[in-house]
This record gives sequence, structure tokens and C-alpha cells, in this order.
Amino acid sequence: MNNFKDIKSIYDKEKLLEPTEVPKELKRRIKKADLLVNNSHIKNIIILSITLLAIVGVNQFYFTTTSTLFEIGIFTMIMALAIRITIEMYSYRRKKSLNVLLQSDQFISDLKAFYQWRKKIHKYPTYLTFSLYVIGVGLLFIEFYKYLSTFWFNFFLVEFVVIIVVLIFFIRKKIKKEINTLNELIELYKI
Amino acid sequence: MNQSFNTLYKENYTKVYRLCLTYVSGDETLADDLSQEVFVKIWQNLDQFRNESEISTWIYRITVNTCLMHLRKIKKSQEKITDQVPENFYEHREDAKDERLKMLRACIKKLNEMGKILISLVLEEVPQKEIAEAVGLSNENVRVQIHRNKGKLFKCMTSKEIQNA
Repeated sequence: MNNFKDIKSIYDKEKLLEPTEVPKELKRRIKKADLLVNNSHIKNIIILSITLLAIVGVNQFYFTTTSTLFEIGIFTMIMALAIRITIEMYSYRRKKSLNVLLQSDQFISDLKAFYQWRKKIHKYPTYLTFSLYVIGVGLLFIEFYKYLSTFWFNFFLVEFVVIIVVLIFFIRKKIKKEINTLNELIELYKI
Repeated sequence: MNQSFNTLYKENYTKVYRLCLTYVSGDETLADDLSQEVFVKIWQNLDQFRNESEISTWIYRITVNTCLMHLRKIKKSQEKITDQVPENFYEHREDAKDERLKMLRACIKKLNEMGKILISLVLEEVPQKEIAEAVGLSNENVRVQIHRNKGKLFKCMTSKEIQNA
């Protein structure tokens, strides 16, 4: 190996065939690309919105006579979901505004800013919305105490606590992993 | 699908695929996936192309940015390969391919992201001015970075050749 020309000659040895037509797979991807539901943010927004509507619906049509504490519980859960939906919508808008037509240095800086933002929302907002939701469900439990036997109340309470502990464990683990990945990506984008 | 896109695809697919293939260190499935993503982006933005620059520069820019955007996917896929594939996997799979091409890809993988991009474009014989326009660095900066990365690549290739000798 004497110079870069030798390297170039190695690269040029690989012969690739020119395509004769646009493949079906690409045509399918082009059609799918514009569908909103293909986006993970939109999927999250849809799931969260359905949950929110279900809570509102159950509150409106099923629990017709409730206490103030119950109403506060429902409102807290709705608030938690509404905050999360707003964050996801904003995040979706930010991701959509990443413009591949920009010069790469600008694009890299926008990507880094986007990942920094993702890092931020994985910290306190996630814990805040999760805590609000748990508090909301907890308040509902106080109301359920009136209607359930001691056995069933204790049963649901233990189940609730176990689910929360497991969820906290998984969410923490996932957030840690995600933040590490985002840090690695931000590091890789250094020019 | 309109005629101009068909022509654009036929004329540029190989270039885009080779760029992606070099960037992902020879992972053909991933390179094909990224190339298709590039053409989805081209299709979506075709109406925004103004003849202010060469169409090739415009396509290179989209290719580079798409690869950068999917760095997460690339990293994941490469981790999967390292985790699950036996060490001699590539030796069997690439038996028919040039051993030196494998070495070249391994050396390109060691460069930083901008280094990979610049070397991929240089190997595709993209003029320096077009590279500068695509990546948004000054001509001088591009020249210096290309020189530096060529040096690293050459050093890596030479040491690998000595090892194999």
C-alpha cells in the first residue's frame, strides 16, 4: 500500500448493479411515509388520548355520584395524561422540524438539540406525570374503601402497590438506558 | 410515481447505496434500508429542489443527513451483530469478497462520524467543493479534515496489512 489511490482501487473493486426500476418495497414505504400513525410519537399520543377519554367517560357516565376526593383523583389523573400528551405533541413537532435538506453541520446541531431536549423530558417531566397519575389512582382508592369489603380492598391495594413498585423499577431502568444512549449519540455527533 | 423520480432513482441509487454501505461498514441490509429511506426523503422533498446547486449535491446532503439521523438504528444494529454473531461470521459471509475491502471497511469504522462521511464521499469521487456544500464546512476545513482522515485510514490499512503479512 503506497498511497490513497491504492485504497481507492480496493473500494472500486466492488461492482454493484444499476437498478432498472423503483422496487415495490420503496413504493410501499413512500406511500406509508406520509401516514401519521407510523410515527411512534403519534402512536403514544393516540394511546394516551384513548386512556384520557376512557377516564373522562367512566367519570361522566359510570360514577354519577362521587365525593370531592374522587373528583380530585380523576382530575389529577387527567392532568398527568394531558401533560404527557402535550410533551409528546411538542416532541413530535420538534422531530418533524428536523430538516434533512440543511447542510450537515446545521443538521447535526439540530439533532443534538433534539436529543438534549429528549434527555430533559426523560428526567423530571416523566417522574412528575407518573407521580401525578399514581396520586390520582391513590385518591380513588380512598373512595373505593367505602364500597369494597376489607378483603377486596386490601387485595387491590397490595396489587396496586406491587404494580407501582415494578413500574418504578422498569421506568427507572429504561430512563437510565435511554439517557445513556442519548449521551452516546450526542458524543458521536461531535464534529 | 412520476417519471422524473424514476429516472432520479435509477441514476443515483448505486451512488447512494455505496455511500450508505461505506458509512455502515458493509452491513448490506442496513445500507439498503437507509438507501430506501433516502429515496423516501427525496420523494417527499423533490418539489423543494431548486436548481441553485447540483442535484447530486442535494442528494448527497440528504444521504449524509439520513445516515446521521439513523445513527441510533446503525449503532443498535452493529451492537446486535457484535452480540449475536460469531466472530468468524464475516469470514464465511464475505469469502467471495476481497479481504482488503473488509479491511478498508473495518478501518473506516474507526473514524469519527464526520470522518466516515468525508471519506465515503471522497471514495465516491465527489469533488471537494460539492462535499463542502453538502456538509456545510468551509472548503479549507474540508480539505484539512479529508487530509487528516485519509492519513488515519492509510495508517490503519498499513498496520492491518503488516499484521496479515
